[in-house]
Amino acid sequence: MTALAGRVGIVTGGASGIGRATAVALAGEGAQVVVADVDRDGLDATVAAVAEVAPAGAGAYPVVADVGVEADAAGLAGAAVERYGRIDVLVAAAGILRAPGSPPRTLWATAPDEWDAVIATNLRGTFLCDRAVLDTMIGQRSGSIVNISSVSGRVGRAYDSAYCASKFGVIGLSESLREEVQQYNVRVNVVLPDAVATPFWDQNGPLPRPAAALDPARVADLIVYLVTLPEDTILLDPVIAPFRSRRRRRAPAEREEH
Amino acid sequence: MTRDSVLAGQVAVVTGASAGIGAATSRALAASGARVLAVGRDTSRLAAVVRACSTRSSARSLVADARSATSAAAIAGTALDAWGRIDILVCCAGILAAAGGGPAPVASLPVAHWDEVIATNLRGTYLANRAVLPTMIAQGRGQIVNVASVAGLAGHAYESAYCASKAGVIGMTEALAAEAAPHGVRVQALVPGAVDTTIWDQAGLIPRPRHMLDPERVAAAILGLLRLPDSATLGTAVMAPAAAPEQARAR
Repeated sequence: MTALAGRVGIVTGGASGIGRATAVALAGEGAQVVVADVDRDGLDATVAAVAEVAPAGAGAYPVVADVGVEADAAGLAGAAVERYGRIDVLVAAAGILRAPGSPPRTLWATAPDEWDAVIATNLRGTFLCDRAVLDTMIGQRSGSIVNISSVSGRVGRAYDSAYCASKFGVIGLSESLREEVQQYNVRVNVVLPDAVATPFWDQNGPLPRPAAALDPARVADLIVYLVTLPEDTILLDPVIAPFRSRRRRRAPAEREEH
Repeated sequence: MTRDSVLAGQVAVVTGASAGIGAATSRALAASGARVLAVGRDTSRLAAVVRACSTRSSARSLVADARSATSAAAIAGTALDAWGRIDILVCCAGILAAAGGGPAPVASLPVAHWDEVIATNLRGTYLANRAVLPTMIAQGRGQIVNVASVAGLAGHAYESAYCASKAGVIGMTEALAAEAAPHGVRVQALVPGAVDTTIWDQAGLIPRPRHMLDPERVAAAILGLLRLPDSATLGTAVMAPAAAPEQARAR
């Protein structure tokens, strides 16, 4: 369980959900992990959860940061380099379904500040954090970035226009960046989870939760797998979904005619 | 093109109308008898487009910046004041790179340049769509075509913001299409491959593709989407030069 011994990771959105599970999984494999979030209490809980599984030489270091703020993203990379001297893995898991306190709305009822909040965290935040670690990874001639998109990054759905736009955008960004940095041995992954059982769904208010949702630990397992693959291999844009989901969302190419 | 029974008399708003796909679409709509509000940033080029449109139909221009919510509201207001309704919105306003910028890797792309591309292409499309929808819903009828790009289907190096913005336009369009359909409003995206417009002036050292679509061909495709019977949608329609069908592939 020490496939990542001596490695340094950054996980955004680390206070809950996929981010917390990923921090625990990376540290469990021996990595030092800088965990970032806007939620200080959640970060502390993640640090405690990491402490339970981390072998000697591994652990979690919390940084309160808003990924949509350029200085915060830069500070995150700076903290990792200052503390641990390198950055091997970035998992950009910070994401919101909608602006704080906003119910699901149609596009025409979505106010510009609600739209902007989602794009700022999910799309701009991913851009800023990716950008912040690149100098270090390019200098090292090694590194793995894992951006978290969604099945909603492949198929748009009603009442989530800003979220879908942001997650489509994360795929576009990831594909562009992948082509730019492969020459430096930096690998850019993008993962498309279906429904995951996280506090994320609280943002949907009274709407019913998905009937089937993955344990975030399964997504974390996939991320560990991606970043420990031999350097000559990448899994392109994997979709991870509950096996027994009744309505599995399909890629556009597989959609049937209605 | 001649006046046709489907588009004649309809009120159409076209953003990005001062050049390229937007200018060609404005002219094609006017030639089909639609009344056109041409929206763009370049006053003199916009005036030339409106002059061309006015020989065929009623046309007006509005100098406005797609990135501003106030502008978006003004766009809808201008069309309503002039003609009392809005039947069609075609969103063509888009940039490849920030003013003074060009192709750049993510690692060195200035954040302000990223923001300018996202603000124009993605936020601008959202704002214009949002501005016309209450009118279309009240009418129980209307249609929108958002112009994306094959760069939104498959990202490529040195144009991350453009690729992200155009992917976002496709996602937003799919979400909105589902929301608006029950109100009788059809929302489609046209996803063209390389088009021979001035946008390539922003491409720096990136070579122009050997095969490109004429903007007039793209405009004709947009009119094709608009002329579809009410009972059908093409959703996101991909278009590429016949000589380069590989441009239409996602990867």
